[in-house]
Formats: sequence, C-alpha cells, structure tokens
Amino acid sequence: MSFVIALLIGTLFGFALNKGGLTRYANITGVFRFTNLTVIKFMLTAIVVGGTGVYLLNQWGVVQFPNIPATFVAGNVLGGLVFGIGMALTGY
Amino acid sequence: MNPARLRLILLCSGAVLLAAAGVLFLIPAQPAQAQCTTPSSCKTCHEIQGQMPVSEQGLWHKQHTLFDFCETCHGGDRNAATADLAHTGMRIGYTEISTTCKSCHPSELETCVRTYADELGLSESSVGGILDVASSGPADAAALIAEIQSGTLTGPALPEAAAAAPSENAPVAAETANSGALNTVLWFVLGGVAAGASGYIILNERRLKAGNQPTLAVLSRLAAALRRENWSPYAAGVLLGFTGILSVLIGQHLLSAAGPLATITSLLVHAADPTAADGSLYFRFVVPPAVDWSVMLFLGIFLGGMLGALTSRTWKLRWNDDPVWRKVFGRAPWKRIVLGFAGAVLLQYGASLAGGCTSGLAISGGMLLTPSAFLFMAGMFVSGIITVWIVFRRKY
Repeated sequence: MSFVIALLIGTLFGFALNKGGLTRYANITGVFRFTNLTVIKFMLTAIVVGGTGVYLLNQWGVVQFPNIPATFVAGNVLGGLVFGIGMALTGY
Repeated sequence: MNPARLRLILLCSGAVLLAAAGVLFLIPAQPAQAQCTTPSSCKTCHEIQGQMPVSEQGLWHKQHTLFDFCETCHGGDRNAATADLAHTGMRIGYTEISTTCKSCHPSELETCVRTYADELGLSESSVGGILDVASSGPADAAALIAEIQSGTLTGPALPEAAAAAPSENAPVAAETANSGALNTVLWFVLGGVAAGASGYIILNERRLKAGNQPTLAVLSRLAAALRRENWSPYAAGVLLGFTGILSVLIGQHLLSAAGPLATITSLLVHAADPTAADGSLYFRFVVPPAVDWSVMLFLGIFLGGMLGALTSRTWKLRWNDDPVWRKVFGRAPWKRIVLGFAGAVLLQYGASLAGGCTSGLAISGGMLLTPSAFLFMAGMFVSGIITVWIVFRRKY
C-alpha cells in the first residue's frame, strides 16, 4: 500500500516538474544566465510552501520530521559544485 | 548586457557572498559523518539529534557509528519516523559478535574479535570458541538479518552478558503501524470535497450574477488551464510544495531522486552478478539492492512527467530539438547524447557526495530548513553559472 502511495506522490512530483518547465534545457541554462528565472521561482516556492506545511503539521503534532539529510559542509558544497556542472551540461 | 541583467547578477553575487559568510559560522560544525544517502532513523534520532547517543559508548561503537547500519545488529526499522515504529522488532542487548562481524569482515574476523576481546572481557579460550562458531554462522548480511528477524540467531553469550536477565534480549513488542495514514487520507478526501463544493458554490453564484453562462464553460476553462504546457512556476511550485507535505504526511518519507537511482544501480549490479558487490560496503549497506519506497517514487516521477506531457499534447520522442541548445551546439544529436551522458555522471556523483540531489536535498532539505540544502544550492549555482558561462562563451 505504501508503494502505491509512493507511486502516486511520484506522479504528482513528475507532473509538477513537467508543467513547471524544468524539463527543458532553455529553462535550466536560463537561470544560470539570469535570463529565465523559472527554476529558482519554482524551487523556492516549493520550499516555502512545503516548509510552512511541514513545520505547521509538526507543531500540531501530526508529523515528526523524518530522516534529515546530514549537514557535512565539505560534502554538501563539493557535491553541489560537481552537481552544478552536470546540471548546466545536460540541462535537467 | 542590459542593465536589468547586470543588476540581477550583482544582487545574486551579493546574496552568495552573504551566504558564504554564513557558512563560516557553520565550520566548527559536525564530526565527520560518512553519509552517502539519507541517514537512517536510528542515526537521526540517536546521533544527529543526540537522543541517547551511543557513539562514545565503547570502542566498537566509537569506531563504527561513523557508518549507518544499526539495524544489522539491533534489528528494528531504519526508516520509521516514530520511536515506536523504529523500535519494533529491535533487540536491545546484542552479544553474538562472531556472526555480525563476519558479515563485513569475513577474511579478517580473527583480528576483529581480538581487537575488541579486551573491551568485552574475553579470555583466550572464549575467543577461540567464538571463532569456531563464526565459521558456521550466516554467510552474508541478508541471511544474518533474516535470522535476526526470525529470532533464530544463536551464538555464544559473553561471560558477563550470560548473567543478564533474558528479557533484555527480547524484541520490543510490535505496535500496530499505519492506522494513522488512512485517517489522514480520509481527512484529505473530506477537505477535497469541502474545497470542491465551496468552489462550485462560488463559481455558480458568479455565473448566476453574470447572466447564465453555461457552467461547463468554467469547468472547461479549468481543464484547459490544466492542459496548458507551461504553468506559472509559482503554481507548479505550490503543487510541488503540497506534494512534499503529502510525502511526509502520508508516505512518511521525504522526496528523493538520487537515492533511488543508486538503489536501482545496486539492483542492476545484483541482477547481473549477485556476488559482484560482496566486497563493497556501499552496495551492501548504504544502497542495498531492494525495491523500496524511494524507487517507487522514482517510477512515479517518470510516469508523472509523461502524464504532464500527455495532457499538454507535447509528448514526443525526440533527440534534440531545444532551440537554445541548437543555437550553441548546432543540430547534431550526438553532441547532446555525449554531453548528456557525461553531465549525468557528474550529476549522480555530485548528488552522492552531497547526500542528495535537488529533490532530495535542496527541496526536501530546504523544507526542513537544513543548512545542507542551502549549501548544496549555493554550490550548484556557483558551478552552474561558471559552466554555462564557459560553454556559451560569447552567446552568454
């Protein structure tokens, strides 16, 4: 059953990504050129909405935070640097 | 370069410098944690959040909590979000060191047992006895975990543990799990019905005031909006935010995409040659070959993207038809394929280094306001901007 939920949530996720336009090379490289800010608008909106919701739910005791990605400064930054090169080259 | 763009670049550079200054405050930070994917619940609560940490208790824990395989010895559910669910099936005291050590260190078992023999108070004869049993214990991690969960695991008890009360080794009683999830789904259905009903009432009132346009026109306008190829990024972002909330609420997992890719790789390796990954701690414990929740999410992402394209009638198998790409690289599809492959390798490598990709780390982590997410995004943007600048050269 939880796998069905995973499938449904993933479908919503993919749908949002596609409609948001993040599957296009022009949009991804556009944000790195400061001409097309779709990516950053999308990501930050998602973070704000999701964060508000999750923190609210946490305060009401409905959810507890699941495994939090560990903060490991060198790994996060280095990984981000490598990731950015890949993102700019492929456009995804 | 037009002044608006220049202003934007300066603004972003200023923000980045500010963030970098903030990073300096983070540097006297964490003990080195070898994390390649999201840590387990065990590690999150006990070590990261510091509730009853074991990393300083005894030589073995000091040297091994660097990794993340508590459930191999102690059982339990490494992905549960609450203490009760995580401790279901857990063995609290654990004494069968010969069999568990063997699953990772089959060829140096004697060295390992002797290293910790002092700490455990083993005499020479006990060590020999343990090593004798080791040769007949479970052959690998999967068999070991199966034995733990079925409760059939046996082995020599350590001298002082033999005197401990038997109830210390009994698994924690299982709780009935996930009855809360169905309740939540019901609330969402009720909420959806309420929202739909109120929406209908509002729209109907408007229709009556505006002089009897057919109701279907409103619905078809909604449907047409859904079918548009490009939503406003704000609308899509709100949808993604809700998806993230649902994922935590009903799925009890965070969104992630790089993790399942690694798991799928592990599955493929296992299918091709089950013994090939035996020497690799990464493939056996960090991304074990199993179809788990995140892999189903990943499949869903793929299907969802197709659904989006299908509803906007832009679904098409294509090699290379992006206009910006063509402006820079020309029409040849082989360049797209080669750069796509090379870039994808970098993407996954970077995601593994950082502990997640944009969905797992930037968005899910950002939702929880972890510093790692923002560090990751900073690095991503810096190198992305430089790369695009180099690649586009004069057309930047």
